[in-house]
Amino acid sequence: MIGVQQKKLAYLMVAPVVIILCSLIGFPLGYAVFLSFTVKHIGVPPQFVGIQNYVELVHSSIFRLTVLNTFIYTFISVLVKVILGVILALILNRIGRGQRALRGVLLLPWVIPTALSALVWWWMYSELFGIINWTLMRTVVPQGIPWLSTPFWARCALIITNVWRGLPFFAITFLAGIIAIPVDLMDAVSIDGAGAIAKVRYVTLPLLAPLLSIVTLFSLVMTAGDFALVHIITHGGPQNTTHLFATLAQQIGFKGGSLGKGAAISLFIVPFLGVSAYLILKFVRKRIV
Amino acid sequence: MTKGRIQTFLKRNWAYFALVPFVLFTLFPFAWMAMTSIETDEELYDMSGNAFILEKGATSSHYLFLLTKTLFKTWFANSLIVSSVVVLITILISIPAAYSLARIKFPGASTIGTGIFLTYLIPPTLLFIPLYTVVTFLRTANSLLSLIVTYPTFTIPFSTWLLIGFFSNLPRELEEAAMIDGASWLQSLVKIVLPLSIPGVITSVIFCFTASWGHLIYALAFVSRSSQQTLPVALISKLIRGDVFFWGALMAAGLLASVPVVIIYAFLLDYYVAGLTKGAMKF
Amino acid sequence: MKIRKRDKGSKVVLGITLIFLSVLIAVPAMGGPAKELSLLIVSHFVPPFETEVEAQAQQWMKERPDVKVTIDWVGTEEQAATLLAEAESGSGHDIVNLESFDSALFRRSLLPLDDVAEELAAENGGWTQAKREIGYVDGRWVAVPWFIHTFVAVYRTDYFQQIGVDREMGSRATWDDMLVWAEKLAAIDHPIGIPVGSNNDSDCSVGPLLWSFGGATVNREGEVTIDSPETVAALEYSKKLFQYMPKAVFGWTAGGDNNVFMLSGYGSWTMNPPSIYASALKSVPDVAKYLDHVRTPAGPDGRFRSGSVWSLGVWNYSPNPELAREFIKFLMRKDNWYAQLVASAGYNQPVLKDYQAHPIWRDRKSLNQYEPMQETLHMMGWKYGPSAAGKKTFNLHIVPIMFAKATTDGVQAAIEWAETELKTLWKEELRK
Repeated sequence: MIGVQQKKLAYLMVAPVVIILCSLIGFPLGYAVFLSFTVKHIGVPPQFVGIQNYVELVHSSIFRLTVLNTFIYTFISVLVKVILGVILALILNRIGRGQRALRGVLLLPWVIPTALSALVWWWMYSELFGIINWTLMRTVVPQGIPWLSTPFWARCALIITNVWRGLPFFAITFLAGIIAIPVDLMDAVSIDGAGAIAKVRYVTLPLLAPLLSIVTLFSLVMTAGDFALVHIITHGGPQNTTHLFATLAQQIGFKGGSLGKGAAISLFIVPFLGVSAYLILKFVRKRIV
Repeated sequence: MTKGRIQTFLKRNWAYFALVPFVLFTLFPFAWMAMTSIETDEELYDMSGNAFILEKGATSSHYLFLLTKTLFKTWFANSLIVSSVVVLITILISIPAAYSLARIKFPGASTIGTGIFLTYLIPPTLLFIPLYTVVTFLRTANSLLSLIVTYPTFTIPFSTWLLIGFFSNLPRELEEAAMIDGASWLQSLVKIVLPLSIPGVITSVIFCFTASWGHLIYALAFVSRSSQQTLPVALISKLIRGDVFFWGALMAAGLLASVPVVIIYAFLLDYYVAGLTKGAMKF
Repeated sequence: MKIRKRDKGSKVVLGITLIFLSVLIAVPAMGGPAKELSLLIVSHFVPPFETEVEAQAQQWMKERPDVKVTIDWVGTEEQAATLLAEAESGSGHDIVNLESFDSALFRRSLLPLDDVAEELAAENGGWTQAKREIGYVDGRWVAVPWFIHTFVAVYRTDYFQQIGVDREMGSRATWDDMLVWAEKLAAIDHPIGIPVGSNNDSDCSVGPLLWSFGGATVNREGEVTIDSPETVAALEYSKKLFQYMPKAVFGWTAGGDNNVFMLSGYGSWTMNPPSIYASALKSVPDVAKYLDHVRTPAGPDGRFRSGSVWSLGVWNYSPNPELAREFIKFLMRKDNWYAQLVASAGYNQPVLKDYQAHPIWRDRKSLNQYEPMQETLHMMGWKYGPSAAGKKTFNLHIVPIMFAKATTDGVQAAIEWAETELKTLWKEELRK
């Protein structure tokens, strides 16, 4: 039923997207890939050096630490967001009166510009004067927690903030998924005498699985590419233990003027993105077709 | 109350209790912002008293400073303009594209779909230097236009992909019936498919608006004129001077900056949930 | 019939596409006013300074009615991103405000201003010691230094009085004195605090400490010399000193931490420009009355200071190089510079010797050791001149991290780490 005319129309309708993305992303991305194989200083043409930037990065202790940091930060943040997101969604689903208001309230952290919320958290984490330590020192931890001055706690601080910001999106999306599960299916399981936990385990979670994996993979990509949170709260410190690709690239490439190396750092994340993308696409294709 | 009644009460309302820690976790930073925004500077730095009590009383000076001594209203309007126009452009472009990609199996459709998806995965931290060349070429540097031109690079891929999910999920029979009745392919999109996809479109609108509202990197690099800046960048530039932080005003601004989006959400949230249910779930 | 309708649809889509494309093409065609001189300046921690500069620009425009001057004030993060984007695309402002070694970083995109610099120096008694640090790169003036902000010792007179130290003793302090005092101050629960984290303040604080023990990251030839007995001495010393500081100093980041440390009335000593004092005057006058500034402590190799030199450069692709030169000279003119100084409440330090004669620093007792400076001024990257590697050493906070590592991993491990990182940075520099 699709004629030549429609095909033409289809191309025409897709054209704007393709044109915009090619000109605004295609060219810059290609240029960045090219830069990563060069030594490029500000104001002079790049010199091609092959994979030298990448080789140097692999040998750099700060960069290796950054890879580890990114892995820890991304993996734990996303894991916690998924678990808490499912729990929060299940709870929200049980709430009748006031669910709309509560949904709104719980979405707040996702709405506020990260640059501003990161500042609040930084202010709250302040070891000597932050409200978190002020409260802890008067209650359960008299000596306070070294939030930003020790690697372990600095990573915790960033993960907590990331979870705070991302949890609403996870919970609301999962809630939508749970609402979509046919009521009669649930009723049928209830008649079979399944308990609440069994219902979640054998009905809700399996049905939620597709949504879970999509959100998880999207979030993996976004978390690994995070910038503002780390930049504002820890600046990559203490002792570089919280640098991510984006913050290190900013320090070396953009502020330090080594554009080639900065591009190489940013692009190092591409294999990671590629694997995620492959997984998402494989999954999503199955659903679309 | 008898023991039995307490048990019934708990059983019926456990969810509300279970929600308490989540709500506290979510809202505490906002409460802290609200409190800091009405705290006097003197008390802000006085760590001796009770941190939760405003011993020296509340002040509206930070809000007044923000609204009368800075261009806050301009920045707010700029953010609103940029986000709205970007959303409009995104929707106008991504709806037809997504519909074509979802409905017509023309050669290259899946390649284009994959390509669109991949662009979503590229972090903007990478792109701003070469993009500035494009922005300069278009002579849009140092103006809102530069943001209106560049923000679609991260909104269009997401929106298109989301809408592909929605459209491909709608039963074809409806459109086919309409076409047999003499409607054109485009008419069936406008009259049949779109009304059914309103949740999806609204979902997309909300995502794009939020992303544009909070975006930092392009705004930081492309616009330095105060009267043309968006909220996050302007606030950081004007309220953090070297190592001097205007804490009260920053916090007040943070609250004021999240208000409009929260209002939009309050109205659209029902559609939002419905939208995600149809789209993301059956991608 | 059907086909006709489809055609209509195609036309609509085609129309929308064409409109969008024509907007993209039409926008570049719109031109601006003929003679516009635009400046990108970093926002000042004393806002009245900005009002004064704006007023001076208005005044200049009265003399030059054919020119329109616009000034964009930006934060430091924004300045870095904007400079890079502008230099790489060959567009943007005419005059840009550069921080310290930005001049070296952007030297290939900056217009040589030797004539302006030499004229200013000849008329005003020559340059202060800020000169050799900034602007003069590879034998050319690529930027004209405007003013400096440096890190001086900020302390609480009352707490120091409690441990029996007056201003006179404080201004003669050596690092050995500091060690003794730090212990006493910690005992009265008003510890000292030097930022040793991943931020610029840390570099400007521990840099002078390292130098005063004779250590330096590189020598004049750009060879890494961090592995030296002097560095070992500085690190061994710092391990002793740091035990009297709150552990939080190792996590101080965005630059506001040591300000709050002092503004809260908790801390007794830190290193900072007078911005803490400025905030205190505005927000917590009870603290301000006890704040004072003295010279930085001396080590075996002398007394050092670091900070930011703010200079003005002109992009070498600017269409208005002559106007830019003229306006820079106008901003640097003695009467105008003095007006800016007063607006900045005395915090802008001069780069031209004659300007040191202004009475403001003598009249305000708390600033009389801030300027004229008696310490030796250097930037991270000394003993080499202005360099991109020096800027990177600063940005990556190699030296503060080395000091922090010395307390956790030991002195030798810290030095080895710093040496490896520095060598990578300097290898790139010498490639040229």
